[in-house]
Amino acid sequence: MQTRLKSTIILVMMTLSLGTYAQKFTISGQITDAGSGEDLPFATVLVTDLEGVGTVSNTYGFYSLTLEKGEYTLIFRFSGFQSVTKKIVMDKDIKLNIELAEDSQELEAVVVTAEREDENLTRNEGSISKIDMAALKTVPAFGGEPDVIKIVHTTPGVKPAGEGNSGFYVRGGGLDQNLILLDEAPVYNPSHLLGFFSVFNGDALRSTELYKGGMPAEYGGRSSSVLDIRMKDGNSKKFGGSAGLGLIASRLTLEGPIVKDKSSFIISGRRTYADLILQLSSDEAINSNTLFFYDVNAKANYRFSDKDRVFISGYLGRDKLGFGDEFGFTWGNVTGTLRWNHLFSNRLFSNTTLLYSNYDYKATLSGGDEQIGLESVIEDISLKQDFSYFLDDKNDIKFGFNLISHKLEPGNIQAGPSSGFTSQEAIPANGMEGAVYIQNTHQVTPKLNLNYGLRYSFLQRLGRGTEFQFDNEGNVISSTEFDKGEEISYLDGWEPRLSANYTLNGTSSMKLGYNRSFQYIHLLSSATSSSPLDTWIMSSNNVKPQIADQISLGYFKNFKDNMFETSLEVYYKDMQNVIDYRTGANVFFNDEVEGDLVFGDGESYGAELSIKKNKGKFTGWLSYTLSRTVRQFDEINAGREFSARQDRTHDIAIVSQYKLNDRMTLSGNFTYYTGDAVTFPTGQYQLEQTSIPLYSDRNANRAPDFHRLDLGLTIQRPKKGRIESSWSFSLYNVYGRKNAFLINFHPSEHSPSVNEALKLSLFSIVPSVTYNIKF
Amino acid sequence: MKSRNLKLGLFCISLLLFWACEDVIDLDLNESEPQITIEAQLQGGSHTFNVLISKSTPFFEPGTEEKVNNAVVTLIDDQGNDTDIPLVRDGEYSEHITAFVGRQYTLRVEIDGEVYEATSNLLQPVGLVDIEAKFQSAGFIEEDDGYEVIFYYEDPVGMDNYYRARFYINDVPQFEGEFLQVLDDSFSDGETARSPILTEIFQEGQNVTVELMHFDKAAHDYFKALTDILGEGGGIGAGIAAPGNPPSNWSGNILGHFTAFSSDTISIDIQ
Repeated sequence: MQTRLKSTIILVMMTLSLGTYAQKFTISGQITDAGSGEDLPFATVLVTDLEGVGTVSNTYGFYSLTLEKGEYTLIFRFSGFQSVTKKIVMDKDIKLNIELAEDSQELEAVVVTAEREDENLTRNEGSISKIDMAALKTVPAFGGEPDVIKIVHTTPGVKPAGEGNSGFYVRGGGLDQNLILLDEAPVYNPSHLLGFFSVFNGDALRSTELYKGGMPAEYGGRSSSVLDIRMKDGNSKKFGGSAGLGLIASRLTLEGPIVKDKSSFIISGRRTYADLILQLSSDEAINSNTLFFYDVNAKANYRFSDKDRVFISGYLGRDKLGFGDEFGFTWGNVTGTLRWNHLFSNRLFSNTTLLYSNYDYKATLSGGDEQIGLESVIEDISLKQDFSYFLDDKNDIKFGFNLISHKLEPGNIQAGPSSGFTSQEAIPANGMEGAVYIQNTHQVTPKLNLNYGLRYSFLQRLGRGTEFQFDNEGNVISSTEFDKGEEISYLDGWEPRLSANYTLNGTSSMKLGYNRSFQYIHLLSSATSSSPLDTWIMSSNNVKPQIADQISLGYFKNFKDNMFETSLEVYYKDMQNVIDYRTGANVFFNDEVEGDLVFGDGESYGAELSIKKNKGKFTGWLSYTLSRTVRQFDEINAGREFSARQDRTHDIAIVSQYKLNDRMTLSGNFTYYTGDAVTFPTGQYQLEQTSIPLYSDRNANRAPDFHRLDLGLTIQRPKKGRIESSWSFSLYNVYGRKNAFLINFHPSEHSPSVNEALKLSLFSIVPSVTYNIKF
Repeated sequence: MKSRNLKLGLFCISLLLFWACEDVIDLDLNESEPQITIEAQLQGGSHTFNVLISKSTPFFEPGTEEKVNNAVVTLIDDQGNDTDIPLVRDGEYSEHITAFVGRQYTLRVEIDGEVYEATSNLLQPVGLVDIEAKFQSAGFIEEDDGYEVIFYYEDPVGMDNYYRARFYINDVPQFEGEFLQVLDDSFSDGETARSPILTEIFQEGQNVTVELMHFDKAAHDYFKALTDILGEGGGIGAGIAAPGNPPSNWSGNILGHFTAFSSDTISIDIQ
């Protein structure tokens, strides 16, 4: 009797609870820009009736939220756009696409946002800096070319490699530890013209984000950062474009719908014409020289249905230098992306991408009938599969894998018959790099959001190839031959990731991040700054993968109703298997280069302060980083720890804009950093009747401090019909400081028995004018 | 060789910076304690063997060498023969020596109670087989019209060979400074190798002699590291990956190198 009653009650309760589970519905859709149809990635969707409940759209603007049956008010938000509020009744699955209109206050564009909202839901993906592309129009740029990489340089924790160089160091990591992606395809050399300009044309880009710590498990491949740059899809509502005519370079962008609201394209191109100016010179030594770069970005997409969308995009760029007929040097990147977005259900989003990336350089020397060509190529083909599963109102799961086939041809030589050299083709190195990951963004409590995940990565080296075995001095003792397809080595690692975001109150939050990253491909530089002649190598049994473990802690606070955004972040990074060279190492076209490498440890730590003012006539930000980064190798500096080259104690960047009136905006940049740690001579001695510099401790000296002020003025002209035009004036290096690019030590020209230090600096004051139009 | 091309490449890139300015600057350098330098080259056959011993001096002070005159220098071969090398001039120790191919020589230097030793293998000479002069008009690399001198030699097959090429104008040795020409056979093993005298232009009427020194790998690594230092002078942005002192074959913290070598010469009159 009693047992039956009990069973019935249990049965009824189970049915009721089952009934409760059954009454969850999903609302999903696409969030886009009302004006252009472009996806709005990481837009927030908040449920005002429930504390701490909401979601964030993914990279492609897709959002999905699962709620229990009921009535709710949802707010859709994206920085710089007007929010939209919708009342919904959840009694079935709803498909709701939202278009957000740009804020009419757009001229107060927030320039760099460490995407932090004052509501409970914040984007929890570790230490991330998001660059607002609208800033490119007003920030003074070198030679009038707006450059997104230069803005990345002003982020706290990021140190530019130096003048004339697009590379950068993130939290003490090396130049090769940043994965630079354009629409998911890796870009191996992001510099044009020795880094005066980067390869990224701001007019073609939609978003740029830098992950510098607490990286989510979906990212990997380089141990310090990921710079994720996405191209615009192209305005799917109306045809338009923009162009800029400048003293050094010009650019043109065209975009528009192929099928209105379903399909669009964008194509953007740029060219310098510094060589045309050279040809104006009457000096033959100057006018026979070539110096130019061009690049083209193109993208098209087609939305087949609510569930399927295909994108195709590509980049092609080339740099060419030449001195008459005698010397020529060219390099360039090519990338291609073919992507398919598919909705398996209203909660499961899939992204499948096929990628291609190629970087090559070629140098040719000719003298009379001698001809020598030196060439190096790196080529990647990869497949990437990512799933986003919006499990429920508290959990967003992501999982997937990627496979990259690397082919590195580090040095082919084509020698003419009378050159005295034999042609040689280096055997390409083949490797298969891959990773599998799973992560969850979990709203644990209304105040605590955790993003935790695990990534497994590996590199498999495959033949044909030769593996050398070296002794402790780097001399070859034996070698093993491998046939095509035979496995030469297999290296792998587990990469746990964690990022925790705790909201303290309506205006402040704290963030903790931890990540471990493996890196299987490394850059060997000839010089201590990067140049197009850099060589990439893969890990092997001789070259272990670089490993970085980083922990970071940050405090974020907004003041005066979000007018000021401030943050203070501290980090500690431990690096293993860092690569350096034996004295006298030869890194070019050297099959046995692995013997010239030495391996050690690195450590870096620091504090990053950021203050941003987002509203008012005067806007901008200040970044200050106080840091230290050191290395230790048994074979270098007698095993004593030494400062890494990029150990710059202080690093300050100030970027500001002042709106004089509706049409004119004044802007200014100031950069200051402590000079690099370098090795200078500590004496001299005589050999072969020549004075030779004597060296002792590694990097025990400092280059002179670097600082520079740039000013700019943008004048918006009155709108004529569809055409908006503006003039941009900029003055680079206003007070003409000659920052050191190279310091050489040589006997003096007029008194050869005396040594002197010669500083080579690149630019004094460089003015520029650009005329921009948008239609 | 390879370094020539890439050196020129880097040289050209740095020249590219036509906006660039060069300024002499004052720098505060941490001056180190004077270090001993011992430079000695032992030529196969019957020749005068010179050992130069000096100490390092502060970098910016005009080239005054500090010579060492109290060293005891002995040359020892692997057959048990040793020969004293006496002091003949300030910092210079010299003796007439017959050195044999195939032997391993050790140079022993004692200064102030400390003993330093270095060992080098004396290899056979590699023959120079031809020399020619080619007219070059002024271009980017050479500023004047003149002749380029090219020499040819037979690289022995099957072993790694290392060389240095020196030249003389009218029998006067020329010091190449930063264009010390160091060669190896990675691209020309077993073949008749060809090389021009680097970045040097000769004029009619000059008699040019090329000397091809053949030595072991340690000597090659040393001279190659020296070309890197001389070429770029160190400092930031330098073309070398790791600024440091060239690898010496001396025991103890001594600069310089003891190089045993054999050489062959060939001459041409430019007309």
